Order: sequence, then structure tokens, then C-alpha cells
Amino acid sequence: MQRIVLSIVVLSLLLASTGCVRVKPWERDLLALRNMAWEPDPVEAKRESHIYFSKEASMPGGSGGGGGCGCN
Amino acid sequence: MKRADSQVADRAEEADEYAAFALPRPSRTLTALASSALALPGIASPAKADAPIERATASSAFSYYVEDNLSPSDFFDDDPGPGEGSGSRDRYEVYTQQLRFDFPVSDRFDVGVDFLYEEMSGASPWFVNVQPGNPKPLQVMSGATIDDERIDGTIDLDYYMDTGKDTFTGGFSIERDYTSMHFGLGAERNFNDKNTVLNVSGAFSYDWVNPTDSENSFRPGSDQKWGIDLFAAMSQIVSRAATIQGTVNYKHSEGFLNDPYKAVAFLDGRAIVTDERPDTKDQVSLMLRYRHHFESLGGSAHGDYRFYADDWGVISHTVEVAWYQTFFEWLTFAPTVRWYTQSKADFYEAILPAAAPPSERTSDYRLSPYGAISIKGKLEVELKDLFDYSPPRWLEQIGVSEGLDLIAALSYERYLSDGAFSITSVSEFDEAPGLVNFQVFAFTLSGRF
Repeated sequence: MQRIVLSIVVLSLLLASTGCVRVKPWERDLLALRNMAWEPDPVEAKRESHIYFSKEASMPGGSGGGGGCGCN
Repeated sequence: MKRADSQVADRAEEADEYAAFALPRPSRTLTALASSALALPGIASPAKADAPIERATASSAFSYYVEDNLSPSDFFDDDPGPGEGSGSRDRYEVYTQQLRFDFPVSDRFDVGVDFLYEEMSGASPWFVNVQPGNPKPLQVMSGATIDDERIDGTIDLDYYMDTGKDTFTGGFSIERDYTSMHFGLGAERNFNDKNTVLNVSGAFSYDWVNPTDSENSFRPGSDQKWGIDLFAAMSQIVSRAATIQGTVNYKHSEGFLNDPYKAVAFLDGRAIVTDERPDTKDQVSLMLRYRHHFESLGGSAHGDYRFYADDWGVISHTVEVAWYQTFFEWLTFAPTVRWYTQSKADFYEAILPAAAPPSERTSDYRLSPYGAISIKGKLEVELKDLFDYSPPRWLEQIGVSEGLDLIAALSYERYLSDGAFSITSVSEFDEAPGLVNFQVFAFTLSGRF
């Protein structure tokens, strides 16, 4: 439990430390490329997430929600 | 060929921002300056803009999942138990068809609808046993081939405002012996001139389990479980070419959490007993994701790390790295490598000692200690402005515009699991003989209208 709390704190600090950056809207052309997305292909991401959820002990972790199935 | 001004307008419509990194909706000229490539249909990730998508998208994917047959050296091929014949080494194969549609319904709303249909067949691991005089654990497989179908549907409704959006999600999954329903609410807000995006969401799920052959004394007639899922994410622009995201996910489950089709054997050969797991489960998952585009190379690097822990004793780490390389502006090749390692559940035992069985026990390989390495490759072709088309008014209102962009992709994955791939050493007695290796072949066709 302590390890989890410490990880969350470190993660938050890491992210907060990048908050000083201000990239202007007209400078975001590269960031908006499809291959820069968190999940460039959401259909593929859903399929992969379901396979790993069925065959491994962990939960996906990429997004909340979603129901269960008899596969696990 | 379209005129230059209509091409600019097309670009403006294409400004399907990746959430915080998009421009304010009002100005088409500003949007065009962003010159964003589109995000693929059905953006399920939290990073969506504070404006509905402007063009309708549709996606169809077919995939074939096939597990390697169980190796003869891991297979227990004597008569496994009462009422069952010898098991089969032919493991699972699954054919899956997915469909996804996304379209705007007004200036403030858009909708995403997801369908999935799959057919599953093959033998499944049942319990682990040893043969006389040989201490090596061997996998006993189910006798009859399992044939089943699953239907899955999800709907997302997004409501947009100036600083973000709210989302409602609902869905179901139905199989012959299992039904699941879920619904959830989420909120996304932008800060720091959209350099920072914060997402939170909560979901509730309820599942009904109706095992087949329930007249078998090992299995319940029916049972239920429920779960609450909480999620938070923060995305941050690091530079003009890089972004980072941290997520935290917590889930509490309660009810019937056993696997009714699994059992546990004893070293002294007494009768097998049922798989028994705790009635509750708490899970936490932390993920860190990084994306960096290398303009001179025309490629993007992806790096994901996930830490997972639950109160059943399982701790896992996942590292996934990918490279997206674009050629000639229409061809993309994306290789990916994934490494996964997990510890065993507290109550995991491949085979029980000759003693009274513990109240909690499982021989399920999915709760055993092991590691897995996966290599994936994807080839994608994107064709823009395939033809000119003037849609009727009612189609324009749900985002169908003047032309069609098509994306076709082929992908392959090879997944191998073994105790040797684990971050910690796994004893020969702990290593599950039923660890799975599989391949996935997939073809996707997506259109933006």
C-alpha cells in the first residue's frame, strides 16, 4: 500500500513539473498527428485489452469502466 | 482534384484534435493552421477535444486469435476424472468481428457506438496433476470442445462545453453462460491553455454467471458479482513534439469471483476440489505513457509502463514500446514489443499437498507466476479524398461531408509466456504447465466521411 501511494505521489510530481510548458495552439501540428495519439487505433486497443485481460491477471489500466466476460 | 480553398476547409474539418492539443472550435482558419491529421474513428481514450468530432467515422475489424496446442510434455493424457473423457490438447481459437461508428449529433454532442461478435472454440485448462513416479506438474484439459459465442455492445455519449466535456458510457456483454452490464460517467477539463487535460470517471458493472452443466456438483447453478471502477488521468504537453500521461485506476469487485470451470488436485490422488477465491477483490493500476515525434525521421515513439497490484497478492509490470514510421505520407509501419511479468496469487498452488484443502485455492495458470513477451507488427495504408460526394442534408447533420478517407491495416502479434520471462525466478513446481502462447491476425478498414 505504501508503495502504491508513493508511486502516485511521484507520478503526480513528475507530471506537475511539466506544467510550466506552454505550447501555443499554432505549434501543435505534430502533437495532433494520428500516430501521436495515446491509442491511434481504438478498435485495435479494445481488442488487445480484452485479450490481455482474458489471459493475464491484471486489469487494463488505460481507461476506466467496461464490463466483464466469462473469459476471465 | 479539389480546389485549394476547399482543401483548407477540409483541413479545418480534419482538425480532430487530440484533446488538449486542439484549437478552440470557433475559427476554421486557426484550425487549418493546426493542420492536424485526424485521429482515428472512435477515440476511446480520454484525450478528446472540447468540440464534437466534425466528420462521421466508421471502422470494421476482423481478427483471428489462435493459441498454440498444449505441448505433449505438459499434457496429462490419462483419464482425468469422474464423468469426463481424456482432455484435448487443441486450445482456444476465436474469430472476432468488430464495428465502430462515431458521429456528431449537434454542436454539443457526439456519439460513439461499438459492436463486437465473436465465436470461440477449443479445450480449456481444467486442473493440474502429476503421474505416478514423475513430480512434473502436467495440465489436465477439458474433455469436450467448448463452442461459444459472445456479443458485446457499448455506447458513449459526449457533451461538450468550453473547457472540456462530460461523458456517459453504457454497455453489455452476453455469452451462453455469462452476462455483464455496465454504465459510467466521466468528466474531462482543460487547463493551461489546453496544455493540461484532467480526466476522471466512475463506472459500475454487474455480472451474472450461469455455468453450463450446473447439475455437476462442482458448479453453482447461477451466481452474481458486481464491481465499481474509478479512473483518473492527467495528460500534459511536454514540448512541441512530446506528451506525457499518467493514469490511476482502482476497481473493487464483490460476489462470485471463482472460475466454475477450474479445479484443484492433490498430490496423493484424492478427489479434485473446486476453484475457490475470495469474495472480494481490490485492484490498483498505475500507468505512465509517453509519446514523442521525431520530425526529421518522420516517426513517433511510444512508451508505456503499467504497475498493477491487487489484494490477492498479484503484482505485475508491463512495458510496451512502439515505433510508428510513416513513408510517402500514406504508408505506416508500426512494430511493437511488449514485456509482461506477474507474481502469483497468494492462494495459487499448482497441486495441493496431501492435507486438508485451504479455503482459498486455484491452479489457474492466469494466477501463476510467469512472464510474457509479445512482438507485434502493423502495416497501414491511408488514402485521402478518394472521391467527391455531395451528401444529402440529413447525412451532413451527422458529420458526413464531401469525400471519403480510407485507412486499411494489417497486423500480427506473437505472444509467448514462460516462467523464464518473469522478473523473479519461478520454481519448476510453481510454473503452470498450462501457460499459453498465441497468435493474432487482424485486418481493419476505417473510413472518415
